[in-house]
Amino acid sequence: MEAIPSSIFTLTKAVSMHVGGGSWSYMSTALMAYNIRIPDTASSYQDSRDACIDLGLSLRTPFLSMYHDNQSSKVGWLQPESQYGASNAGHLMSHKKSKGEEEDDGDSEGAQSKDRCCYVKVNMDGVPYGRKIGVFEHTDYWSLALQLQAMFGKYFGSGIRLFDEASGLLLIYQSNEGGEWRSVGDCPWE
Amino acid sequence: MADMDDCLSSIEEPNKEQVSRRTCTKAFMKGHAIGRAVNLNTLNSYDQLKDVLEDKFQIWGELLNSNHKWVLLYIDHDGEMMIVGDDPWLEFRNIAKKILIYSREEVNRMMLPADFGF
Repeated sequence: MEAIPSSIFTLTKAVSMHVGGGSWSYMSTALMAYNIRIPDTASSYQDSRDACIDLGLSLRTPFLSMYHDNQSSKVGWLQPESQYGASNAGHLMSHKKSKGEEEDDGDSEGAQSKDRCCYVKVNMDGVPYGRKIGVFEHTDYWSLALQLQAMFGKYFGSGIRLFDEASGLLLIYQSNEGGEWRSVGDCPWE
Repeated sequence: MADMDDCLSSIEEPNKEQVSRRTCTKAFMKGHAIGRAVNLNTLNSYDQLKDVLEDKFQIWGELLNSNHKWVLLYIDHDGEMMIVGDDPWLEFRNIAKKILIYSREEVNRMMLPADFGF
């Protein structure tokens, strides 16, 4: 696979989806863009920004309480992949936690259960329905981007082109904690 | 209004504790005034769900094949509309609050033009 260029994407979250009478409106908040560089090597996360790619997707994670020990303390991160492993990619969600899990602000217990499944919602501006992705099924941002492109690329004639700065799409992620906008790519994929 | 076939109760209880006892999930097809109730607990896969929906809405063969005539969506407990099929089946069974069958044309009409600067 060709090396990933030094492209930057941010994750944004559409605020809410208003449902009423068969018509759907899909609104986005003002974007808090955290420009991140997608590392093309596992060791380099400090390089300067090269380009900015906007992807009108949102990503929300049900797991908030875990903090990466050597990254920004303000951000809650997904469980390290090693705790779940590829074998849990298809693992089923604990039934006890199934309801409202993605809005559960302070549930750290669920995040530590190996039975929890990390399927997060992905919403795109203008698309009336959301998708789900199993974040732990991916090994890096590139593979995640490929799936997102496969899911949403059909809405654009030339595809989303996540690593193409000319695509004009912005991808923002919102942490459940206080509803702050985050950029998932700020930290290493793990 | 929804039929009660194979369901103990298809009525949503306002009491949060009683919601978990609801055995049926309402399914609606755009353009049909009457919805149907589906007991997801008796089904083991998305294919079985599509088979049941095809039967209830008399659209045999139109969900299971990939002609994309219909878009199968669901409403989750957050009130958000998601596509059916992305979640693991057992997870879907717990989080789907309502099932919606839209025609492809209807979904296209719901699409909003996004200003991406193209």
